[in-house]
Amino acid sequence: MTVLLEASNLSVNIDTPRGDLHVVEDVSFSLGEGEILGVVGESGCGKSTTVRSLIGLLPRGGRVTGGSALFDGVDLFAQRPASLRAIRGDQIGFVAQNPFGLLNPVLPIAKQFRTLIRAHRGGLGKAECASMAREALLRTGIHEPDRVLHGYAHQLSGGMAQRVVIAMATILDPRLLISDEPTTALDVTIQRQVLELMRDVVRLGNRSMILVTHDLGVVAQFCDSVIVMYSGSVVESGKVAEVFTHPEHPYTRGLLASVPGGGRGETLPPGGPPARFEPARGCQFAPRCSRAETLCSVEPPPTVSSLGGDRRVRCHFVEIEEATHGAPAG
Amino acid sequence: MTSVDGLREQVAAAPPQTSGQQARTPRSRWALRLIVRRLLILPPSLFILVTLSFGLIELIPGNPAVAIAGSGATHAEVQRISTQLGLDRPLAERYLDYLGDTVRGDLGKSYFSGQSVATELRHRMPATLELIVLGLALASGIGLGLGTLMAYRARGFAARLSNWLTSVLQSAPDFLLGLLLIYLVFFKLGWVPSPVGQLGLADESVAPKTGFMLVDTLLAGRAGLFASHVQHLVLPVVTLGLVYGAFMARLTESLLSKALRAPQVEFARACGLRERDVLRYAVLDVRGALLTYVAILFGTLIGGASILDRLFSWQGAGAWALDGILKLDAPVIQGFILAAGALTILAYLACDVASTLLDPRVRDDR
Repeated sequence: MTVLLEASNLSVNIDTPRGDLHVVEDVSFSLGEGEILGVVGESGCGKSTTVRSLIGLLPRGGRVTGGSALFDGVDLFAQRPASLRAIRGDQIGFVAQNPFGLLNPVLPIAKQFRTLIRAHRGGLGKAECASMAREALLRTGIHEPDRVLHGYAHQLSGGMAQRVVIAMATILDPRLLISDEPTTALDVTIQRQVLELMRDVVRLGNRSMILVTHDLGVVAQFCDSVIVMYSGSVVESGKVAEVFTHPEHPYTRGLLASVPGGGRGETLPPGGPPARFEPARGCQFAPRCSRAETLCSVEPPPTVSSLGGDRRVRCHFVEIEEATHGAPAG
Repeated sequence: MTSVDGLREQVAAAPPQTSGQQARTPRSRWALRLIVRRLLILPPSLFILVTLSFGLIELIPGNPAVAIAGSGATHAEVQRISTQLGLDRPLAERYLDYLGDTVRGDLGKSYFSGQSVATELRHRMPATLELIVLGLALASGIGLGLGTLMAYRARGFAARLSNWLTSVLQSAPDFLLGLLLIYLVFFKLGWVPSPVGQLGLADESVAPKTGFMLVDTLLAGRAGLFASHVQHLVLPVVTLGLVYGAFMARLTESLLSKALRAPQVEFARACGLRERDVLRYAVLDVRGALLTYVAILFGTLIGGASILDRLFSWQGAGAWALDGILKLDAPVIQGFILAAGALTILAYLACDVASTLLDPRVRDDR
């Protein structure tokens, strides 16, 4: 499988009145062509910031402090704003939650499509833009595209609005679609439809997708690989089938056990990823980890990659077990 | 795969493109219905306004007849003037008379000058309107420009400079700024003529047709007078523009910096829209709110622009009405309240119609 996106040692800080907040630290992952990668973790673990940093959409005061992100051989972090803008929307599409908030409230949908198309394909006429938009809407399952095109955002239902957003994000045939909790604001019944739609749009064009979510069920069903994040770091990554059947990191195990009805073993203790103003010292999960020992809060955990395939786990215990048994545990 | 399958059938079944025109027609009809509905409210609101102000003036202690007669007048003299003005008649009778006259367009005569209030208003209101409309237009321009700069380039040098500038301007009262401008621009630099009114002292005015000096001088074909009037307009308009421009800039900044953090702006950027389009999307979001503030400012200024009137000897309605209030000149006060009220209501109406036309969300609510 050809690698489309290779992020290495990505770090992001956010400048706050209280100092530099280390939101993402040393995150690496790779994404193959046609692959769907899930990014999971509790809220505040830095998953949104990680994917937003790729296309230069950090919040005010945020900046990438290290690492690289090679997209089709081009380092996204080395791009000037103008060339990154040209990549956004054209080669990398982006979908976020709350579809109503994503559309402009006072412009007709058709006009928003036109502005978007012309930002990348200058010179295209009104009619050409409209027919492109119509096609994109049909592709996302909107049966009466003209009615939608001449209407406004507030006239749409939540599911329709999200379809329009997906149509916008994919209209220029991007090779990568980043979706940040795309269905969080939708009804449960609509969620599945929208996710299936996105998967189909991605699969059909041999595109790739990064799907940020806190829903492990969604990852299990729609993703090929997964990275599990905690407090700005990747604690475990690999193929979904392997990670979910044989979770190695205590946090992944806890997350899986916390799924209602589906889990076994110890659930996560209360709490959440801590906000950090200094680089991580030990393992960030140690305070909530039942197995934690002194070592964990002093020494940063190593990345264990001897489990086979793309599996990566950052945990002292996994390293120790690996060293003793010399074979994948679990 | 529901949505991807059957794509071809859907293309074939796509309805003909008529919805564009369908969406256009109701837009103007809505606006028309709204205008008519609001205009119907105008007479009852003005009736309530007149009644309230009539009662209020009655409640204020003091007798205009005494003021006219002077401090040395005898009781008989005061009595005579009272009778002359009709002040000795019962309140209800005077009220009904006033209503009848008002409906016929007669707003009475000033107790003191004997001038017809309607005539005075026809001359003075346009002068005030000219000032306020131009001043607010300048203020909106300044406010939108500086406010956008401050919100969009919050950390830049220019934004900091305009931040400082608007703070200073906001804390300065309008008359102080007016005096400063008179001192600098007229007295020191001599760029504009002396602030003696709408025209120079030596200028021979034209017969008023519309009451708007800008229009009247042009209608009379007097280019020189027009130029002179424009020169006289500069200082008061700039004063208004700066004071309220600072306010509008603050307002634009706070509304826009919030709008720039909104998800729709992030999505616009994520779609790779050009920055000018991104900014436009954000401005479109706050347009309606800004418009409402302009309408509110208009209402405030119509009722209270008396200081600038006096400072620039403008012969507008503000200073004249203030005089009337101080002397308890009931017809003048009533006439002014009526005119200012009507104009304010009309301004709100215009604002309502505009926001209805500009914002589809409001449109669908109506």
